[in-house]
Amino acid sequence: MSVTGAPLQRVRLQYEKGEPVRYISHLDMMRLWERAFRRLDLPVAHSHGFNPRPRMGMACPLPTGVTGRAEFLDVFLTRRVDVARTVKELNSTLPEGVRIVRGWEVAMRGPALMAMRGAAEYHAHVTWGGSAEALETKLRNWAAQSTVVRERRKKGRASTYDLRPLVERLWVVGRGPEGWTIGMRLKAEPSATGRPDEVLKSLGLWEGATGIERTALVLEGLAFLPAAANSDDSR
Amino acid sequence: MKPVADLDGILRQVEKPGRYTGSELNSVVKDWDSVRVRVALGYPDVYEVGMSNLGMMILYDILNQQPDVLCERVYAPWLDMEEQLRQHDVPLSSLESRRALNEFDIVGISLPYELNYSNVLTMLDLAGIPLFAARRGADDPLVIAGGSGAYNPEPMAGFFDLFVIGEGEEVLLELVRAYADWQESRGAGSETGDAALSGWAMAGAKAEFLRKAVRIPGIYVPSLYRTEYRADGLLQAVTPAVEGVPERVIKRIVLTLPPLPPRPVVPYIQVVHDRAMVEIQRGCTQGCRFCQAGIIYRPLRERPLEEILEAADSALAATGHEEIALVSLSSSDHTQIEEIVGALAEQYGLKGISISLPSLRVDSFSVGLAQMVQTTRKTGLTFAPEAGSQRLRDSINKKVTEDDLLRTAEAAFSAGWDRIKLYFMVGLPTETDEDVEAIVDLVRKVRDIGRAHRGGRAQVAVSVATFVPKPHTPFQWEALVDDDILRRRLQNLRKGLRIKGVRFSWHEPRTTLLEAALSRGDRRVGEVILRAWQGGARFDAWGEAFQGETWEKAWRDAGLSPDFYARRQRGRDETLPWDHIDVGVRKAFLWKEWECCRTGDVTADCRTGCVACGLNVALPVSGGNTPCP
Repeated sequence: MSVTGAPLQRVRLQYEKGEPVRYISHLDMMRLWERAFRRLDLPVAHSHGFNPRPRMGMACPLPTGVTGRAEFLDVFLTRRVDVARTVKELNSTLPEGVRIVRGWEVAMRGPALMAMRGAAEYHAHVTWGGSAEALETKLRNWAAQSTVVRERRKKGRASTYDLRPLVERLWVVGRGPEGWTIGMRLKAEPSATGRPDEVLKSLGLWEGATGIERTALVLEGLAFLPAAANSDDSR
Repeated sequence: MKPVADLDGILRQVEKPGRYTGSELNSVVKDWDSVRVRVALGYPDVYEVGMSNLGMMILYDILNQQPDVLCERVYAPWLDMEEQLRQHDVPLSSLESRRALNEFDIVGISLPYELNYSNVLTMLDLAGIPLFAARRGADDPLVIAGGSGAYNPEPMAGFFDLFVIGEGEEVLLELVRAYADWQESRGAGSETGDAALSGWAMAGAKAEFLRKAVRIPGIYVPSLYRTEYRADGLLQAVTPAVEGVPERVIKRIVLTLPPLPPRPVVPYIQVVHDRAMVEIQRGCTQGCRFCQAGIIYRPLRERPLEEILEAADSALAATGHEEIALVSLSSSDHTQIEEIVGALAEQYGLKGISISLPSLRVDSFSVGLAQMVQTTRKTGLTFAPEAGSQRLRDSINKKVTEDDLLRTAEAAFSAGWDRIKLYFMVGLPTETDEDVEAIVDLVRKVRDIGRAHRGGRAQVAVSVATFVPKPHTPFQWEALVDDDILRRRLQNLRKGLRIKGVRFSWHEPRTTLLEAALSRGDRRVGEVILRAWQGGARFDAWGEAFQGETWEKAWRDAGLSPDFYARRQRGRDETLPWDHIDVGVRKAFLWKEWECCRTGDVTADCRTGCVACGLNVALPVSGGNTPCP
């Protein structure tokens, strides 16, 4: 890894965050990646300034305690690498529960993952003794509300916000380990992100929830963008 | 109790669940049934503190290297987690396999600090292990302790089956194998017969093993010793209660430092020292009279340059850490330190990996070392003159002159550092108000040098701790400083240090009395620890958790006084509770050093000539490959 040098390549990694690491926070995941890159001596570009930081970015932080099937990370390199081989090498050094599904090169000047707008889909396994129809009715009734006021704490201060507009869709996926699995599609934008645990809490299903998984990130500009096909950044 | 798998249900209720989930990179998970002995290594503080301890990592690595042994880790659960475990009736379990602690053959707990003794009881209790060694039978785990706290094992003697005195690298393996042999020989008898044994006979079976274990040099079995007290409350003697038990237990050492863990465990969450650690030497030759580590870790053993570089390389490659720390009691003293630092700087400097050099001697040579590793950031340099006046520094044998410090400051500020941090102690033996006021003069001079070079940006951070007398040091007979004297001196210091460009901080002295009393306690103090724990004492080193009143009540209820242990000047001939623990340094040498403190006589660094501490006679040092320097 080199501290100096201009970035020459931007690599996007799609990865899974599994059970063993579900309680690792977003910040700690960033450190996990930094260390993995250093173990391989990858030429990661660094920010300038007093305290140079590796240039990487993640899409839409995954809430602590939630597993993810399709998470994304961008890393900027000062030397071009063979992406396929790097993915393979990274997978051999990552801890249990973190696995790269694929990696590809994206345009250097495309939008940052963190700035992308869209939605995230979650599956939540809940304990539910009743029928699927009853559960569906419950979800429908929830969605029929015009506002769902929730409280949140930021730096010790409590404030309220409306959860309803952050929920795009709720549905029953099928049988789950302890009852049923419900699906939810929540807004994922830099300024407005819905939290799946909040939805479950307001549904009264949080206590018996046995797991939440983020199954997809549907973000504008996230899809496969081969660098070559996208090299004219004029648009 | 419920199966430990239920842990998941409660993890989302606690702060920092990453403390309890394990599965870190390089952690070792072995097949439970494939080994002869299963050891849980415990550290009685939170994960972030425990994972910064190199000693535990070394033992974890050594034990797991043995194909017939498995070793897993466990740390003290924070208050919220303890509450959750109790509420859901889930036992405390290891990080690796999530087995309850009582399923292990041996539970080994490190005792690095007196103020986490109460957490030891929490850890045993949460696993359903009887707290008292005497109540544990052969089917309970063998509960053992080691670490610097084991050098005065008496306060915790009732809770442990045995203590490992000294360095654990070799003796722990001998013990583990002896335990496996004994267990197998028991098993070869009749399993059903064992199960039918009464509780008394079960305890008898364990006693049989303890009698075997006590023959291993370095093993102290407190239940095989009798303690007697005099009518005036002083300790009369600690003597073997049965035949074949050594009168004194001599500490174990390794003659050559064993290789460092090639693949250290990488924590997911941020820990206190989040870096690769390379122990470059063990022991110290300076002979500071207040320093327990300087005595108990004798003799000095250096790790050769080649090995240090290899260890650094392997640790960084296996972890991906961005910092490497050279660990020792006095880094500048390593005979090859320049080569070490130079080679590391050359190899890692450009890769953005920082190298930290804690424990630098106060001299410009050290500043030169720091310059070799400094990156674009010059965050600050730390030095420990310990006392303000030359008289007091002589008395505590801290061989630093005012000139040394000023030249060091000159070198640091002129090389571009903006900040120097200085450590001092208050409450040292023979200290007067004037000695403490001398700190102000010294700091002012350092600040002036800083201003001359760096102008308004220069900063001197002064950090003051209260001196606590520790066993096995020349100050083991000394009284802890009186509270009002201490407060007055700190107050004076605070006033005197209201200087522009100087920042003053002191260690909260609320826990000092407890630390002092526990560190020099005898076997009777165990009852105080138990009562305090029962009253809710936890994490006593943590300001937000410390319960002063609970401890006060515990002392009262046990009919004891912390002042008796902490604030009493002991006589030369008094039997000290740790006299039967032999660290190799003669008591007569410590007393002579104490007298030198009174007269202000300095004892030289023992590299320049043997000071006759007795170590080379007591331990097989000169005969080995690492002679006393």
